[in-house]
Amino acid sequence: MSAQPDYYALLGVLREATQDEIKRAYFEAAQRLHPDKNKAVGETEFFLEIQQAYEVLSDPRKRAKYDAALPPEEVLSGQVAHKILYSRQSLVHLDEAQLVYVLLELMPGEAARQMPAPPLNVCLVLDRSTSMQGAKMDVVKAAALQLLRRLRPQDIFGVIIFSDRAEVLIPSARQADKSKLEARIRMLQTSGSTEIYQGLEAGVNQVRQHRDPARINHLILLTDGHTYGDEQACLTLGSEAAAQGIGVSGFGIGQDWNDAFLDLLAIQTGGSSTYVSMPQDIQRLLMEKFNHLAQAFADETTLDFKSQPGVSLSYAFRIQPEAGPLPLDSPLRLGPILQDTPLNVIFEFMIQPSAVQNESVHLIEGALKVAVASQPTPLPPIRLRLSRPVADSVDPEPPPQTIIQALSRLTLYRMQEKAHAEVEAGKYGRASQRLQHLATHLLAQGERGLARTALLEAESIQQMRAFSKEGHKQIKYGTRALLAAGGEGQVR
Amino acid sequence: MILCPNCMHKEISGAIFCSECGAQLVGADKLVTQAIQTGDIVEAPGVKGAAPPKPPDFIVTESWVSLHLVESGQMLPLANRAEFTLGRSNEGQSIMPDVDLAPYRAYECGVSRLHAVLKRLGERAVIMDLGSSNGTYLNGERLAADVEHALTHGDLIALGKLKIQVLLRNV
Repeated sequence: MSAQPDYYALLGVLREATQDEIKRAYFEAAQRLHPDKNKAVGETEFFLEIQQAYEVLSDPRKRAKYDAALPPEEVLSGQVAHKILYSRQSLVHLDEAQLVYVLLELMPGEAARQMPAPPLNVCLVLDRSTSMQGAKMDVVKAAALQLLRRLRPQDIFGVIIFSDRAEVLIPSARQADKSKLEARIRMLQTSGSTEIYQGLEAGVNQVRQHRDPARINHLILLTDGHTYGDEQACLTLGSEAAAQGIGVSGFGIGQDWNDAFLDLLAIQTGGSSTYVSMPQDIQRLLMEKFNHLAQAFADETTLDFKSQPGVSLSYAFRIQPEAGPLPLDSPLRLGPILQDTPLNVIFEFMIQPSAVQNESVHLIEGALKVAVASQPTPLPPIRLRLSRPVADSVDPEPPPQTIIQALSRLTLYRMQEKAHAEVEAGKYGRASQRLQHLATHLLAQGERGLARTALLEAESIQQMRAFSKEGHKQIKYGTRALLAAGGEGQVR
Repeated sequence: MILCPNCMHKEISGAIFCSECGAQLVGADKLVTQAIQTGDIVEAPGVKGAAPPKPPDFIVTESWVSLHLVESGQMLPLANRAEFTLGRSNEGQSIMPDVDLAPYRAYECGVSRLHAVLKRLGERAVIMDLGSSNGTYLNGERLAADVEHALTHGDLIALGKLKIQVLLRNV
């Protein structure tokens, strides 16, 4: 590697980026890193480097000179490996829409194996509203205590408690005197109502104070209730946090929380949302999350893409780690890559007849940015160009088994989604029928418990014209969990 | 456009699973499980053990073939397709026959997971053993594997020890 820093990687653009793209990337980075706003250690130097990068790249003459001295790209990208699998070898000339599925897998590259696990900067945001009283609060306390004991000396950890206002129970720091902190957690009492924004804001502030690209910066929210009126404010705060590299994950306990909201809040930051049906599961699930964070190779993967004419991204879903649907807009936060678990995302593209006029179709053009925690300087983005040739006849080869397997589970999740949408639209008969189909498939996969729930819900919809809160969540997160199980199954 | 063989929903070309009923559309031609309307099962008159039983003179629904399970006396009408694989499902395995006989003591009777296939060829109906472990018998005679054998209304077949009477309609 040359002594020159890679200006393209610093700005997070591809080497053939246009002047416009460079300018946009610079403004975005400058806003994020401006010393007036940003007090994190080492970021001021980073800001200066960004400025220098822009100075060179924005001037065509300087840029040409810089390019000439730049080492070839291959040398730089051994950190992250990626694999792409298509559902079909080719598209066909057709005067109606067609679909193609793409499975993207990202994992640590050869050069990056056996890197030390990055230190954490995690803040736990706990709902202490009165509804948490009793068993829920007891297990939450136990889980928090367990987390505290599992901390490594290099980890930064803090706890916020909130009801209709927030309180810093344990300020974020490297925690040396754990016994004092344990006492504070034990003393925790329930009171008040649930206002998530209060807790979220205080939590984000704690994480922000110690924000460091070399750490995994994450906020974990535990709640059991609806928040009223401040959803939008929460989402805005979440996306601001995401832009600064802070992930948000949510745990919903019981049946009264707003799953659509918590999902959205987590998704836009690349985090995960989890349903805790039984309070006694909190400890296990929270520990799992914590382990995922501690094992992260890259805490965030972002796909910047341009959609191509006649092609639309109609569905995106993260299969592992932490299965969940993804938003469809660029920049798309795909989620973390763990040391031992690759990131698997499946995309569904819908191709209109206008796009198959030529010999090949570009599905997506974009750049993958991987924020590797143990790397202080950003990696050069990976160019992602998905395309398929167009043939005259249908490709007879069956889709790869991996894709079929993933889709067999994903279909179940999507059936559940559809049934939910149908209930919302008042189509109760169809929703009920769909759940019965779903139950059949669940039975075929040996998921008796979930199948039973689906049948009960089908009945509930016929009679009460609504899902039961509990059943809806069980089916939604249950079918989602099947995907995670299926993903691991590939290795067998 | 693809037509889902299970629910007849029109799917966009390139789809791998039916978005309506969840059935697999490609890559598993013979391994699609069809939901049988169990509500239509008709209890046949009690003829337990009597062999060969008199075929019941009523046939339900629009199906071209019904399977009369001799021992339990239950009827399975099959419709909407020209071909059905018979066998039993096994938890944790992805092989699914079109007609799952697991609820009818298939395991105890020695039915293989994919045991035999029942086909309609124009006006004829045939059965073919798929290389099952315990064999397929037609009116008491063991059939060679992978060879089609013509069926007539009222024939008694046995998958291992599971006895089934084949009731054909309009054939």
